[in-house]
Amino acid sequence: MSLLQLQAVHKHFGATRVLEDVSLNIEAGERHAIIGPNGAGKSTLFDLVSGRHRASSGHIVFRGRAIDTLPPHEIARLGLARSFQISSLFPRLSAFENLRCALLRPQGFGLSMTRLLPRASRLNACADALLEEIGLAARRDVLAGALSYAEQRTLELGLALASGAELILLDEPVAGMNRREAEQAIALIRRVTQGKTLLLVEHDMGAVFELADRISVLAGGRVIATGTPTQIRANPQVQQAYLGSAMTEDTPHA
Amino acid sequence: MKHLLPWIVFALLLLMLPWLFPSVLGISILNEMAIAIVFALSYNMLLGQGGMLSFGHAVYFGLGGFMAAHALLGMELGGPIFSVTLIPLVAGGFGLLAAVLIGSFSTRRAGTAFAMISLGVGELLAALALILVSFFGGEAGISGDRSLGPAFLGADFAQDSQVYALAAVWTFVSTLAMYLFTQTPAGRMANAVRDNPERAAFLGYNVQRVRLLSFIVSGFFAGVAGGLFALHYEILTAQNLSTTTSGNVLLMSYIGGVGFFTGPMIGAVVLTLINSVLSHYTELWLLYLGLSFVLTVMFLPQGLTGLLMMHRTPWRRGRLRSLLRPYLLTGIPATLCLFSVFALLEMLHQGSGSVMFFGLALNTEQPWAWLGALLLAIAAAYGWRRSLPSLREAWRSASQEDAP
Ligand SMILES: Nc1ncnc2c1ncn2[C@@H]1O[C@H](COP(=O)(O)OP(=O)(O)O)[C@@H](O)[C@H]1O
Ligand SMILES: [Mg+2]
Repeated sequence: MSLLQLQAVHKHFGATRVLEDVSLNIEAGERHAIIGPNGAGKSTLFDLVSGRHRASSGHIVFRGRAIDTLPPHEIARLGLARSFQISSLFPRLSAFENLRCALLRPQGFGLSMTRLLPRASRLNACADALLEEIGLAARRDVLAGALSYAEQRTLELGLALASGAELILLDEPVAGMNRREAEQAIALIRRVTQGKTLLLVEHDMGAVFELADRISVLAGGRVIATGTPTQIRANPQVQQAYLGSAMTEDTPHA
Repeated sequence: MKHLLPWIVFALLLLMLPWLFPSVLGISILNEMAIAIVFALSYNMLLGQGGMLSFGHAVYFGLGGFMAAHALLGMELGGPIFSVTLIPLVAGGFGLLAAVLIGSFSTRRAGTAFAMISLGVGELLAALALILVSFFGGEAGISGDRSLGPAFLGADFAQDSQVYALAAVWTFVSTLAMYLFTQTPAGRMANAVRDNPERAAFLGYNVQRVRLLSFIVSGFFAGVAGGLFALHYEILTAQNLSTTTSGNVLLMSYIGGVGFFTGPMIGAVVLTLINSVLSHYTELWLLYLGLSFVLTVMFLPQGLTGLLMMHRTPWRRGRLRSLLRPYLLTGIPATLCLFSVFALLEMLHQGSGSVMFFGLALNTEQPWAWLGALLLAIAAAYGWRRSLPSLREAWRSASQEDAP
């Protein structure tokens, strides 16, 4: 059975219909990208899966369990982590503290009142290693709110990857990064999601084709195609609806 | 070893102060400071560390205090006799219990909803205190005798100095415990939930649980402070859990600086001093207190501790001395200006006859007294303003990091 299933999911905000009859199966271990024009409802889809909003109708099943009525923290505990398109950090904590907060639960610290963080050497080493991996080691003690835009994007990615969750949702992780930063981020995503399941929203076609095993195309609130990168490239409906001439390999990415 | 130093200094201070101020008034003020430190630190677990603005923190202080007063009264009336060294623990336990009950619904939301609920609960308890006479003692309050328990290390706690010794130990232990809490996962996640509750939820945390935990621990230490209060004054009245007392602890934390662990301690010391010294000299002390709060919010949002911490960079760079002159050039007219405004306020308050102001007899019937104070205030304000650009410039050059 698929790790994540969306069954006839609808979402409307008042009269605005954002998602209509979206059904999608994400298999365990695959890297699945969702592409589509701005306003197609990609972030909304993530919000439904992660519990930020509730679906207007339909079901979302994660690991065989209906999660469409669970609050975000319970969904997260089932093994789901996400990043946000607009960075959502702890602005008055340092970069290091941000990552350490994300590592607390996975490493079994929970809400302990008896363990002291300065003495948790394995936890601190993990946070420092992750900081090194995302290239923010030199900014370790800078408050997240004082980081540059690109650094905040990187930390946002770090928060999602820290958890070691089974299913990782990344919403435009490389948007706003330059070519070099994006390449590093893509390599990091590839490495960290080894043996995990990745659901990715991204406009950068380079990143999508480099990472994704399968791609779904969302347009006008509906999934108009799902398939391997090769199939998607060749799909005339997709080319017409969204990609247009951007499908050719040598087109510079947006 | 380096991180032990502040604690050694703190312990030494607690030990030395009664020798420096051995008078009855001195010891009494020290006791008030100890109580205020524990109370303000417990308050800042909510405001500074957890992002919960409470207008009703005196509820836990007061309920703990009343419980302590009842325990003392019980010893008098043939109830269980136990060492009064444990009174703060009893009071803390009761504060904790109240925090569990009230926090279970008030911590569901932060922000305005939390603030409004805390205000409502505060008013409710203050009203109840006048209705439930058996527990709160009505207008007279509940009083007990702290010297009836068994002696502890030869102390029967009849004297204020013995109570100080007890309060100092409790204050040290409570401060250490509250500091250590900030270093635990529970304490750090309280900061995270303060900053961004939604993100904390997506990391798998139930944000209400995170807030509730801080709230309960905070209620415990507020209760401990209430217990120390009961030991010091041997009486609790409805005023001790009123919103006035809640407002006071907010003032202390804010003026001290809610962004620092030590901020509320500094605020507690300064405000206790202002309260007891200033109230001795002028009836307008509440006005001055309010003024200092407004000035802090406007000009020192980081509080007194923030002001001190600002000087770290100039200090590291060995540039503190370059600030001395601009500080004097601004400080002297600023002080003159404030004092002439205070003189005017005192004369206004007096209405007729003469006012003693720093050894100066100001006759309110003499126009020159008014005119003089007014002119001095205006002239000093002008000098103050004129000096500001050079102060700013001196600050800039003293705190700028060296170019690489
Ligand atoms: N909370 C909301 N309330 C009302 N409309 C919303 C809300 N969130 C998203 N929308 C609308 O839903 C549509 C899809 O938005 P979004 O999911 O962010 O698109 P995408 O991520 O694909 O660019 C947009 O038209 C947006 O205006
Ligand atoms: Mg989006």
